[in-house]
Amino acid sequence: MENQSDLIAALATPEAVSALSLVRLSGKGASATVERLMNLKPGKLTGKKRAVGDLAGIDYLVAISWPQGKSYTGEEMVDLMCHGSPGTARRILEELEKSGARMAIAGEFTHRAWINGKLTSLDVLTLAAEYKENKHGGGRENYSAELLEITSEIEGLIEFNEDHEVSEEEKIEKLLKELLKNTHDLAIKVKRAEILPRVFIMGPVNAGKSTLFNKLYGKETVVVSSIPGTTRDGATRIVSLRGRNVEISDSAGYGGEILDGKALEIVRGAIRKSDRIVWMDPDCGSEETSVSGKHEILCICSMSDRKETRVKEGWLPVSSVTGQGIEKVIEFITATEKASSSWQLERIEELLGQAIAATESKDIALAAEIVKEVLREAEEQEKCGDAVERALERFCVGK
Amino acid sequence: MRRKVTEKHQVIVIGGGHAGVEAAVASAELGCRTILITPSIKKISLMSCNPAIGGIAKGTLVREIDGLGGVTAETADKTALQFRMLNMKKGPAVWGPRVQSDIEEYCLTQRQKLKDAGVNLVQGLVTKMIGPNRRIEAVLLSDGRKIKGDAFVIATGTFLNGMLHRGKETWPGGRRGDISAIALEKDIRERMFHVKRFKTGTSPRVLRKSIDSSFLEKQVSHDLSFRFSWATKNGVKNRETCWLTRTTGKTERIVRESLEQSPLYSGRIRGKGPRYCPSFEDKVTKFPERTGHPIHLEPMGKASRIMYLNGLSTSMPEEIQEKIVRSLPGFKKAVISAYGYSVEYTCFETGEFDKTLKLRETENLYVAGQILGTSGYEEAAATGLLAGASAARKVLEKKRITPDRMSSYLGVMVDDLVTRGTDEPYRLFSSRSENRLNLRQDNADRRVFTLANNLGTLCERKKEAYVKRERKYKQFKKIMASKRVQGKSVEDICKRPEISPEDIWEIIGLRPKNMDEREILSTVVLDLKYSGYVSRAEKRYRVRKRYGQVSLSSIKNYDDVHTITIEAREALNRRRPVTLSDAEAIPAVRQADLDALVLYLMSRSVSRET
Ligand SMILES: Cc1cc2nc3c(=O)[nH]c(=O)nc-3n(C[C@H](O)[C@H](O)[C@H](O)COP(=O)(O)OP(=O)(O)OC[C@H]3O[C@@H](n4cnc5c(N)ncnc54)[C@H](O)[C@@H]3O)c2cc1C
Repeated sequence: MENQSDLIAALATPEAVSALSLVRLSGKGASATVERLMNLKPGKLTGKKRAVGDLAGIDYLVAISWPQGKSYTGEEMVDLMCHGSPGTARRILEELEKSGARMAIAGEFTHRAWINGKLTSLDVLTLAAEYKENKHGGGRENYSAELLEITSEIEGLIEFNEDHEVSEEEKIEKLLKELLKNTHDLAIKVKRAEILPRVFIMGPVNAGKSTLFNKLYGKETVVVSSIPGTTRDGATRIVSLRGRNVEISDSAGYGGEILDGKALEIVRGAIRKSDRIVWMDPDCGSEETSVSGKHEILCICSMSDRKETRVKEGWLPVSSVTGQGIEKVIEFITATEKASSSWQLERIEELLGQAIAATESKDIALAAEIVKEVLREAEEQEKCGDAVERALERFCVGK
Repeated sequence: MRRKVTEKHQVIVIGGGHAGVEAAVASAELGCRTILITPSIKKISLMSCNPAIGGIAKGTLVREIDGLGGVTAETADKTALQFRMLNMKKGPAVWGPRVQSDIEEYCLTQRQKLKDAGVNLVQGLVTKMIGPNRRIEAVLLSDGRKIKGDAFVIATGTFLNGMLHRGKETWPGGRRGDISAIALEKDIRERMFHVKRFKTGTSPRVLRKSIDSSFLEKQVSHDLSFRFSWATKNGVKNRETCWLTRTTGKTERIVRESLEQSPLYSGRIRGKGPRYCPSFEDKVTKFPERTGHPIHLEPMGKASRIMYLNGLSTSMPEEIQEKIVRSLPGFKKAVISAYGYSVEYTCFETGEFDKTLKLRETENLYVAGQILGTSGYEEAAATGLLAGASAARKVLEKKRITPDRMSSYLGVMVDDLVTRGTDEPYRLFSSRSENRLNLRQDNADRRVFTLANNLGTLCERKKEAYVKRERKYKQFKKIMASKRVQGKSVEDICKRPEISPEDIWEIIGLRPKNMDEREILSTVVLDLKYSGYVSRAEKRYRVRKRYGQVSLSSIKNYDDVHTITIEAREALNRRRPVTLSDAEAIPAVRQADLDALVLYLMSRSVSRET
């Protein structure tokens, strides 16, 4: 996504038979390209314009253009509304490609909108979250607007006391509580949209992986959701451990038929740099070598409560029976990088809680200051830039 | 002791309003011979509008004036009829002390303060300035007298070519019963200073006897042992009652039906009015769905026959005003003693004056009060103090001193007026400050002490009193720092929103022995309570201030800076800001863009060095 303004195109509506399909073009020369293909006078689609006509003999369609700075992406942009058969759209795209447009990759339009300041990171994340829930468009919270409304309510309440014509404190409290709820919902969505840091529990069969997994999962954790079958066969759970969302995979047991070294080979392809591995072996076998060195690994010597267990140097003694070492394991797992956007939303939730407390204690001026801090937090873009990039991976092409 | 006034004096103040009085007192305190010229000595510090001092942010400003050695606070205390702390339920940072004052006592007290300060009073109307713009030498009075000076402060309020309006009537005047300063305004225009026209208005006054108070809601004084000035020994006294009534649907209907008779709506007044102190015509037009607008009845003085109708500013014709007033509950037989009207006047354009309130083109001409484009007694008094001190410092060849916006409302106001400008009469609001939790009324003296010391406006007696208070503050603070309650430090407990200063005293067993101690103890707690927010606000401000020192001149084309948004690139290419702060002022440029610009400049300077 380096070259921000090269011309990209994609189908922006689902690929299916429907009344209309939308092909979107964004970048330098979007207008000129369509003008040429539709045989329009140059300049006919410069600025915010509309044109109806035939495009390269493929379809009779409506073209809507936006100038730079005024469009969804912030770039020169043209939407082509054509008849809704996948074939038509595909042929139009082919024609556009011949004219120099590149096919957009997933989320590229939104990414450009974000780069160009048309959307805040929060907007993007919300979109991503909603997209994932298959709620196409619509209902996007305009978070900053909501905050600004509260701010102006509060300021009115503070400044125009003499007029007695202003909303009461309760109204502010209600607004703040609503916002807190929305934030909370948003936080949950964003957490789901984010690619979570993952922890794989691995090791030879019967090393006690499942026991450890259940110990982590059962006692100290809260299940957020479960995704079956992500790894070879073992269970994968998104758990909230000490306030952090982590995806824990137990790559355990398959009736003992496949060696777990093999299991490792299988997951290896799916392993990301941010992932962590807990390698378990009561015999302290040096299996860690089979895991590429760039991943953080915690080697644990399981079943440390048994008499015959010999703990080798560099191995952490752990027992699911006595609980020895479990704390250390949790520490290792939760030390994974927390996605900054959910961190940010949690911070916002915390701040809103404080603002509500201040309102309840009749310190509206303090509440106002806290809300301004929330506003700054929400508008700060770079803080969650990273998460944005990742969230974009989940977008469909053309969105 | 009256000095001869034809000799050469050092500082000349033109206009004896709220600004002029503080200007003269400050100049005299700095040791300059000071003359105040005003058409009527009896009307010095006359309140043209409602008889009240203070309010939200304004009351805090009055306490800043006290901390700076001004007289407004003491006078307000002495002449108070009733006290109310506004915003009691909105948090201590925005408490707004306000007193009702006896309008005649107020004038008398202010005149006495001028005399005490050794200011010479000259009754007369200034018609012209003599000398080139660069250096004004003297002023000419309408009776032909000429008064020389080394520095001048113009504080002529709403009088510069003042035009009064009511219904279809229009007549020249600075306010009801006063002449308009037409010649002086002409002189200012001919000297090519940039000026603009603003307007404001006032409400009708009614005879107290003619109102049936059984229909009204009584507004009693708050008893908080409050006073604006540390020099006032006892809390302000409660000597009068105010009343509250509300407009009926009928009131609004009358106004709506007669709108074309208001000079505001018939287009005869073109000057910009204050959005936040609107005429009743404005209220009805802008909020058509509302009725029941509150109208406060405020006595013009102790046992005064006349009541001011706060909230009913109007310039409708007399007969309509009568109808409006009589539509209020309890006002069936009301007799209007003076009708409301609007005044349109000339004031200086933003950019004409600097932060010492000196007109930029001149070396010795200062401006203060309403002619800066402000509105309100408190705003006038505070700017007057600064202008008077600046003028005196100029003639004494002392360093120029300016207030800063993080530590006082005076600083906020001056900075706003000079750098942002205003296209309507500027009124102070707490939200104009980015450091509101610090700009409180309780700590005003502590916040402005450095400024007062630098300006030289605080007399020895007040300075000593301050030093004593400061010692107490430190002592209380130390006690609090040393205490722990249930394993928690008192400082941490202070930070909890539900904890009030009184709770803290209870917890640590410290009882204030008197009013002063009570206030100092509150300040210690509140300072601790908000310290986190305040230091963050100050840090943000420091960073922003540095933006002013970052030059953007090395960037030839913003298209080269790929890390900023297209919108920002376009705006920056078009506007070509000189510094990063100029860039910040452009709406299309966001915080992230500013950061990106800093990084870009940094990376380039590094690559050039290597
Ligand atoms: C009709 C009216 C309505 C108002 N409404 C509001 C309101 O709604 N809200 C609000 O906040 N404020 C209002 N005010 C404004 C308030 O009165 C002023 O903000 C405040 O008085 C300004 O103080 P000042 O010292 O600048 O000027 P003023 O108090 O106006 O004093 C100016 C002084 O200069 C003298 N003077 C003028 N010309 C000359 C000259 N050529 N030579 C010598 N002396 C001269 C005058 O006689 C007067 O004493 C209103 C004022 C008026 C007249």
